[in-house]
Formats: sequence, C-alpha cells, structure tokens
Amino acid sequence: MADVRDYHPSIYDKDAVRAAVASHQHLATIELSGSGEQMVVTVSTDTAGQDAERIADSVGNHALILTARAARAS
Amino acid sequence: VSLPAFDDELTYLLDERRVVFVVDETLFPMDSIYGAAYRFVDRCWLHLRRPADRQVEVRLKAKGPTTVAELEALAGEFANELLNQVVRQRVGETNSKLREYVIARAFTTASARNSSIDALLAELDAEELAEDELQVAVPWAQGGPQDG
Repeated sequence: MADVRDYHPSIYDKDAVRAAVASHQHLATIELSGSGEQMVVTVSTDTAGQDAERIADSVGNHALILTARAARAS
Repeated sequence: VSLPAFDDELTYLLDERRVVFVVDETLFPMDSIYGAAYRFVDRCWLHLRRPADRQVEVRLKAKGPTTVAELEALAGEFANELLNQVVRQRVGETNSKLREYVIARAFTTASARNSSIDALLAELDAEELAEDELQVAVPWAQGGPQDG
C-alpha cells in the first residue's frame, strides 16, 4: 500500500517536512521527492490496510507542527 | 424572522471521515491558519493544500469513528479559531510598542537597582575594614594580631 501527498512550499516549511519524514522512517518506507514547486511524500508499507495512510497522516501533522513553530519563531 | 442568506458562510465538503474547506488568505493570514491548525493537531489529522493563489484548502480528518454532525462542528470550531487567531495577532500588533516599553523599563530599572546594591556592598566593605580595630583581616606575617 502507498499513500502519496503533496506539500506546497508556500505552506509547509521544507525543513519541517524533511524532519517529519525523517522522524517516521523507522515505521515505513518514506520517499521525499519533487521540485521547488511541490514536495511529494510517498509512504509505502508492505502490509495491506490503512497503515500507510495513518503514517502519512502522522507525517502531515508533524510537518504542520514544525512549520507553525518555525513561522512563530521567525 | 428570517435571516438574510450570506454568500460568505463557510462552505465545506464532507465524506465519512473528512471535512474540507477553503480559507481565503487575504482574510486570514497564513500565521492565523498555522495558529488554528496547531490547536487542532491533537484532535484530528490536518493537511493544507494550495488550490489557487491566496487560497488554502484545509483538510480535517477525524482520528477515529465520527459522525457528520461532529465533522461539521469541527469545521465550525476551526473557523472560529481562525477568527480568534486574527484578533490575537491584531491585539499583539497594537500592543507591541507598549510591550517593548514595559520590557525596556523593567531592564533599565533592574540595572539601576543592581548598581545601587553594588554601591551599598562597597560601602559595607569599607565600614567593616575601618572598624577592624583588632586587625583580624590583616595577615599575621604583615603584623596582624599576635598572642600574648
């Protein structure tokens, strides 16, 4: 199963997305790709069901938390 | 009494677990969207998208089983929180000069108080040395107090 989501760089801080991906890499195979226009995060799991979706959800919330903190700090 | 219909009410899309709506960035700055989203991360899964320039699509997904009414309430609460964040920002901007003044005043007062404390301590030291009739503070080798 794979879950693919895009993160627009005008909304999400790039470093925040990278950090969120890095902190979830022990749970599944996570690939970060894309150019400056769009960051694409692909979460893949060997198991069927909603594992990939749940991990992708968690990555999304984590990226948002880090982005919001970065925005507040700047 | 019938209320007039507003075109600018929050319109959203629903499915079993998700509610999706678009926020206009000209009305709600990005910082207020971040602030509102930050307050919802413990309640639902969030994802923000950019469907068009100056527009942010907010996707809220329940973390567990939910109902349509709960999703609608979630969207409404998020909209209220957006407004709350905008007001907080405006109040913060309005009071920024006053805040800076209070902090600057606190620091200058503290430094003045410290200097007066230093002066008092120096005065006490001087008095103690002057009152040392037995010359306790003078080392023995330099002719300090001796037995006898």
